[in-house]
Amino acid sequence: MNAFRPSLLFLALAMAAVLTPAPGSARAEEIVVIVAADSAVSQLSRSQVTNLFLGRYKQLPGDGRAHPSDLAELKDNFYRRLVNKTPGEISAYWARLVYSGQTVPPDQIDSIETMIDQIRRTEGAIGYIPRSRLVEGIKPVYQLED
Amino acid sequence: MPPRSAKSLLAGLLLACSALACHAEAPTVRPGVFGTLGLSWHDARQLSYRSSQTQREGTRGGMLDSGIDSLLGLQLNVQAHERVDGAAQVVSRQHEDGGWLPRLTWAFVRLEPIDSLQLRLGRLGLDTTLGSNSRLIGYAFPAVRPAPELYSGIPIDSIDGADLTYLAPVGDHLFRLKLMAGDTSMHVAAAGQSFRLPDVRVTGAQLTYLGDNLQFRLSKGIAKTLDAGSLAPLVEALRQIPLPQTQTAAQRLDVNDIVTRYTGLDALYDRGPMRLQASLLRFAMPDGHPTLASQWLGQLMLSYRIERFVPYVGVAGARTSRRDTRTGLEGVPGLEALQVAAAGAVDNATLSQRATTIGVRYELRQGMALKFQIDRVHASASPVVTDLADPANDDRRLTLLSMALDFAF
Repeated sequence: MNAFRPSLLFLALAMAAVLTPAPGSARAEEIVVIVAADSAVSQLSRSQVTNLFLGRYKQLPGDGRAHPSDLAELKDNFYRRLVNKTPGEISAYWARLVYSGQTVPPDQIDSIETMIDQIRRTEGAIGYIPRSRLVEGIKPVYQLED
Repeated sequence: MPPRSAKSLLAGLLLACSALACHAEAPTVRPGVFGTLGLSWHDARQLSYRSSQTQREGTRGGMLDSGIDSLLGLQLNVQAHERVDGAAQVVSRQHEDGGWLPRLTWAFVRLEPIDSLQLRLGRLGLDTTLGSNSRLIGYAFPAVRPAPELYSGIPIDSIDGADLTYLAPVGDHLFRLKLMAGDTSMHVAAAGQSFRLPDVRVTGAQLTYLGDNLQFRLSKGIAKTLDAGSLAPLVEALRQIPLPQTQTAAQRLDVNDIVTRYTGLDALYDRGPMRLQASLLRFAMPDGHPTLASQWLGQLMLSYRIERFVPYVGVAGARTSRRDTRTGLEGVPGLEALQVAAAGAVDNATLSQRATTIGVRYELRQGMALKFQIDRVHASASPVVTDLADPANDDRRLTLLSMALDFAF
C-alpha cells in the first residue's frame, strides 16, 4: 500500500466522472405514498413520511415495522418534493448513515408493477407511485404536492 | 487502529456468528466502498500541517501532498435477520507509523428487539458530535476534511464496547437517547515517532432532537485513562531518580487514572439547499492536575446548494484553557534529554488553533464529488500544525489550498 499514488488515481477518476453524464431530470407527476389496502395506516404527515424514508424511524403508526422502498424512476422527483434535496444530497446523506453503521437505505424497485405487488403482499411495506397508477389492493396515505 | 485487546469486539463477533448460524435463510450481504483522493499545498515553508495526530507526515510548506486527506474504505453489511445485522469496515489511510495498511474501523453486530430500540456490540465509532463517527466519509459532508480544530484535541476514533439507542416519537418529532460504553487504544505520531496514547474507558450519553429541518444534540460523557501509554516508561524513569525535580516531573506527567468529562452541543439546520451546522465540545480535565488542561473545541459551517455547486464557509477553533509546559526538570544538569522528552509530551497535549475555511463542492455525479477549499490557519500551540525549524514557535500561520475527489458507492 505504500505504492498507493492518490494523485494519479485522482486525475483519472475526476476525468472519468466529468465525462459521464449526470442522471436524468425528474418528471413532474403527482406522487402518492402508498400502503396495502388492509393496513391500519390511513394517513401520514410529511414528517412521518420523511422519518420513514430517511431511515430515522422504522415503525408505521399503529401498524408495526415499516419496510420502505424507493421506485427508481420516481426517486429523484420524490426526494426533491419531500425534502427539497438533490439526488447527490440524498446519496451523501445515505453515505453518512451507511458508513457510520446506522442504517441502510430503502430497497430500490425498478417498476411500478413490482412496487404495487410488493406493497400488496409484504406486511408493513410502504412505497410511492404516480397517482394515476393507483389500483385496488393499495391505498394512498400521503400526497406529495408538485 | 493498531491491534489491541478487544474482548467486546470478540464477543460481538461471536454473537454475530451465532445469529447467522441460527437463522435459516441466507444472509443478505451489501458491500460498499468510499474514499477520498486529496491534494493539499500550503505557503508556510517551515510548517507542517496534518489533518490528524494519527498521521505521521504532514503537508510541508511549498510542497504538493496527497497524504493527509486521501483514504480508501471498504465495508460489508450483513443482514442476518430482520432484527439482526452487522457491519465490518476497514480503512486504508496514512497511519502514525507512516504505513497505509488497512485497519479495522468498525465491526459490530446490531440487535433490534423492538423497532425503537437497538443494541450494537463490537468496534464502534466514537460519537461525540454530529458527524464525528462519519468523519472519514468525505462524500458525506461539504468540506474537504473534518475540522482538525474540532477533532484533534482528543484523537479517539472508535471504542470497543456497546451502545444502546432508543427512539421515541412525540407527535411529528423524534427524540433519540443513546448510551455507550467501551475502551479505546490509539497511537499518534509526534516529531516523526509513534506514541501510544493511554488506554481510555469511555462512557457517555446523548439526547438528540430530530425535527423536520432542525436537529439538536446534547452529549455528556466521561473518559478515564487506564494507564499512562507511551509516557509510562518516562514517568517510571523519573521516579527512579531521587531528586525533588524528577519527582515533581513524574507527578506532572503521570496521566494514569485521570477522569476527563466532556460535554457536546450540536445544532443543525438543514432545509432544502441550505445547511448550517454548529458544534461545541468541552473537555474538562480534573481540577488541580498540574499538566493537563481543559479544552474548548468548536466549529460553524454554512453551505448553500446552487444547482450542482455547493459553496461553503466555516470557522473552527480550539483553545486550551491553560498552557503550562513546565515539567519541573528545567535547568537540572544531566537531565536535558528527559526534559526535552517531557516538554514535548506536554506540548503535544496542547491545542490552541483556529481556522477560517471557504470552499466549493461540485457534484460530479451521484456518489462522486469534487471539492476545492482554502483554509487560513493560525496556531499558537498545536500537535497538527508544527514548526519544523522552531518547535517553540507560538505564531504559526499558513494558507492551505486543498482539492479532493470524494466517492461513496
